[in-house]
Amino acid sequence: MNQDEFGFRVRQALNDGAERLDYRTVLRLEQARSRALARQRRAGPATVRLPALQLATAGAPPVDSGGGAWWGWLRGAGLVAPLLALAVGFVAISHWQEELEIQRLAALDFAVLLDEGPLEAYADQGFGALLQAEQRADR
Amino acid sequence: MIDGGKRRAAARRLLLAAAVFAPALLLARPAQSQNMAPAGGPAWSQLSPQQREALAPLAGQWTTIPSESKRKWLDIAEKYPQLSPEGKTRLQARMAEFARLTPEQRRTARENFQRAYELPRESRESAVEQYRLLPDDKKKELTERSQRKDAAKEAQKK
Repeated sequence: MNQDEFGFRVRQALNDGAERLDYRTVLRLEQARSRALARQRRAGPATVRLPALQLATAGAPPVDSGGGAWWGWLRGAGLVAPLLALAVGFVAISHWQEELEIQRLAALDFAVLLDEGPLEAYADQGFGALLQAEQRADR
Repeated sequence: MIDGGKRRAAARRLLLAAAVFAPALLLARPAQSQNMAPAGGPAWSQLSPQQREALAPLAGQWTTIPSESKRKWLDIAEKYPQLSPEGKTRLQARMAEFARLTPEQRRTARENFQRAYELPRESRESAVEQYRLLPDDKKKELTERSQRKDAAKEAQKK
């Protein structure tokens, strides 16, 4: 028996065996195949979009790991890094403005404290009215 | 593995929520500080000896000063060593009185100071002299009239 003939006999024997399988075995095999296909469809999207920039924490494979639809959408659209950058920028600008305001107040209060004018008068709105009257008289 | 993935996803959601809501919290902070709730900022014992020397008149009320104002005072303390002995004395003599003013009075003091320096020296001195000579009841009357005028202006703006 040469190699080709041996191969042909083996194929015949396997095909005969498959046709003679018990119907319960065939049913279980069919169910297992359906389950496997369904799992594959769920796990593997046809196309996977990745953002150009990813967080250092984004080491997980690009599949939805149960993070919710909105998170998946944000990540899919590549919005996570820009949103984070925006938030960080916003916080930095807010701190910077606060710092500038504190410096402005410090310079102004420093001048008020060193001035010879009475603090009691400066803190009184009535003194403001007198100053306004002087302003009008000067014009 | 699954638990790890869920934990990572939850951590990311938390991070994103923090990133989105942090600016809102930051914006809300100045409004809170206007209520003058004490606390925040460095403790008196945490200041350097130079800062404590410059801000000595505030030692007793330091814990009641809001953190933003503390930062302002520390900024002033940095300028203190450059002053002449007379300047240092004057600054410290007025410091505690200024810190005791209400936020509204401090705002008025800054406005009036700026307004005063828009005037020529003679006019400024004349206004101070007029104020000094006013009896207390007249001062009170002037203040109330001015407050009513300001309130009417505010109402018109709205």
